[in-house]
Amino acid sequence: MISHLLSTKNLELNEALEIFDNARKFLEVLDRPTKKVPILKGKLILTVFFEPSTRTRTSFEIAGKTLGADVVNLSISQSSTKKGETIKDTCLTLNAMKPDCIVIRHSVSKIPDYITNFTSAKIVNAGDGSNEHPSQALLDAFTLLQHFGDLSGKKILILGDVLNSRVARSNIWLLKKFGAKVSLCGPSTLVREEFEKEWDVDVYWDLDEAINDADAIIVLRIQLERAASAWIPSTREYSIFYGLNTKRLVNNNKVLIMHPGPMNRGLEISSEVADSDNALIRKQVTNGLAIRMSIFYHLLGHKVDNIGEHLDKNTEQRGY
Amino acid sequence: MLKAKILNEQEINKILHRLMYEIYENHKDFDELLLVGLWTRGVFLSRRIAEIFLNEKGIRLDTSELDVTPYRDDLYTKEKIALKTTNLISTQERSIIIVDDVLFTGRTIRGAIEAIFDFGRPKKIELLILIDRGHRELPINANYLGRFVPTSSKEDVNVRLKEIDNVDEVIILE
Repeated sequence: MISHLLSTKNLELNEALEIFDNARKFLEVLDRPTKKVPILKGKLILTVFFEPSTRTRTSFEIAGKTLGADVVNLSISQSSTKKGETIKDTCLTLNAMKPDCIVIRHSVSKIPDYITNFTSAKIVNAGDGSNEHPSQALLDAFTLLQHFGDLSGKKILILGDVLNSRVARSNIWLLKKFGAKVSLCGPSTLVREEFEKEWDVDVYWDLDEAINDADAIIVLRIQLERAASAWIPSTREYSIFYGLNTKRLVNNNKVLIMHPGPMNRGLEISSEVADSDNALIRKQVTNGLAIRMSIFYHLLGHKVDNIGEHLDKNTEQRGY
Repeated sequence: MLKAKILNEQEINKILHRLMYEIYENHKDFDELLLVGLWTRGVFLSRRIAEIFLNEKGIRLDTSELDVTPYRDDLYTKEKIALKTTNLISTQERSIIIVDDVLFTGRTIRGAIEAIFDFGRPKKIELLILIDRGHRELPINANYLGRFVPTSSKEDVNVRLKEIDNVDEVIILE
């Protein structure tokens, strides 16, 4: 049983399936007139974002609040680190506030792993550097499973800035666990030849060839602040060679389109494609809520090793 | 270890028929009546009662399923409990009958009442139980009761239904 959610690389397949099973149940809660169940009543969740983010943080916040937890958002970028505090000290301080769970995003890879040493709270990695973004990968796989039922043998194409993308890495590990055939496409600066061997995936530099027999395409955001400045000659050129538009999809008009958001319309994806019936982008957002609720339930919604051991063991009676 | 068999298939069936007639006598407007079965066995009992209603009186009752897990007060004292399906329509202005197999401490029913209020403001909530085994920890009682079976706290009452257990019976285990 996992005690933190740090990566999809170390996530067991049956744990992912368990998260999905409960997420299906939580989707129903989101349709209720009162969108609140008291599973995490009295639990404290801190979302600590060292990088700006709106949608992931909001999604975690709504997920926690729907389960009845108290969620406190902290934006550290502007305060303590600017004043010279180390990440270790920040964590020790946060831990002293007795949170049950800390959701953390940081621009440096592996920071969530590192801080598990200084806190008794459960850690959820909400994106660390270019390393992993496990909750996004879980919601992507969940959305794909909703449509295909089974992912074995399905060809999932990840298109764009794989080099800098934590979403891509988490997705590769997870989708492969479900038996999907993962392929990558993008300019050779962003989709390196060595990825093929390193991650056991197919690498394409020609988008039309890559699209051909794909069952789903996960379009990555071109991070204008990172990739555009150094790895591609111009956004216009990128959009001509790797922008997904209806013309490119003529021969494969059944393919599902996903995007972790926020989209740069007209750059990596055209408006027609983003708004087409094949696009699951809004669905991903709703599923993301249910998946994050399920992650919290998985980590917090039951007896944990360090709490509750003193409680009466004689609660196994049936017919409670 | 099996200690006693309390009810067999015919007896369970007889009791469900009797409970159905009790509901029939107590209610007038069957359109506003809603049977809410609690997972797991309450769901199947509620469906059976609705079926008996249809066969005996030609009245179709609404049934719903409710998973009380999110409303339990002992989540943090137990290992992880898998969630089940909740398929509850609006309870606004409805007369609700909660259906469950065994009434024990009463805590499940407390959770169920809380859950039902999240789906609207019901006119009235009643409780139908197949076996009341005593040991209440909350002020809760059944409006429609199949049988009262006094038990010791070491004993366990086990309701088995054909839908999931392939057999209809109620037994006491120790």
